[in-house]
Amino acid sequence: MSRRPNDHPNDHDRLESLLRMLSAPEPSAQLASSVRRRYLEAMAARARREALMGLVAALVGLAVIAAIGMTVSEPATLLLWPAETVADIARWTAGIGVVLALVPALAWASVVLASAGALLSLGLLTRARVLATAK
Amino acid sequence: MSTAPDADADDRRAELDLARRARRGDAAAFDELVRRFQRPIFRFCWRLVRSADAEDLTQETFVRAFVHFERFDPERPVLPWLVAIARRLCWDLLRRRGVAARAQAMPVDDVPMPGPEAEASIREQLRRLDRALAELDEGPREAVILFHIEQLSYRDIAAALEVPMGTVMTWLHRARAHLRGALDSASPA
Repeated sequence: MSRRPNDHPNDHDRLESLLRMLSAPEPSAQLASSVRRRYLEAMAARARREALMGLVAALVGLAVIAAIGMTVSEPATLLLWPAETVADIARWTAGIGVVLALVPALAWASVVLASAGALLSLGLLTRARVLATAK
Repeated sequence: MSTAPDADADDRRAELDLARRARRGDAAAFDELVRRFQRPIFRFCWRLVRSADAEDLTQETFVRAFVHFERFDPERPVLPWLVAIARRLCWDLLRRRGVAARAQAMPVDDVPMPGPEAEASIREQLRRLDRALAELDEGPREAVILFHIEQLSYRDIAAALEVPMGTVMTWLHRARAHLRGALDSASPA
């Protein structure tokens, strides 16, 4: 409904229009770029913090597992198992070294060539069968 | 045909989607949120602190909002949530500095006037209104700024100021009475 020309705006309207006339500056043109830079920095810092927290959590987890392991089994057993594994690996390495030294290089070369030839033949045969099945 | 509540709901969904993307590090979504809300947030900060710090507080509001997004309640629209963060930052700054920002006068000289004969009267009314606004307690003052100047709804103001809607209505009623009293005392008999 339109207001008659001799109507006066009521107190509420008057107050509201005056309040809207109270001036306030506008944000600067650089605000958006500055806030973007701060946002990217904050996101990078958050990623670093999360990575660090993950690392700390993993270390704490390992420490807990180690502590539980120490309480469940004897410390001597925990030390014995890696020592036996290292000794086994050393024995196998030495054995392979002896075999390699005893067999002449020509024999190894012929074994390698024969193996490669056999694998190639198998591959070609399989391919031929696949093509035949597709037809 | 879409109705106004539908459009509001669509807007809120779009804002929420932007906020979620910004939280995940999508700078384009963050830029869009800044573009939408920088003006009301900056003006709100400026009206509370009345200094160049408003710009820094606005930036800090956006960064805190979307880096600490896990505290966001998806039932609430984004603007009241930003206002809630901005007002905490503003009051922290004012408390740290011990500044009574409300005592500082608003510049009314750059307000456009309808004509030379009305100019003196309106400027005087604006000065009185600004002084009266500064005399209000923080809650009623913020409610007046958000309702009459930034045109937020009662519900959004209640969310921003973290008080029940009835409190917002009471604050506005009392604040309006105070402001009208200040204007009436200035009016010629």
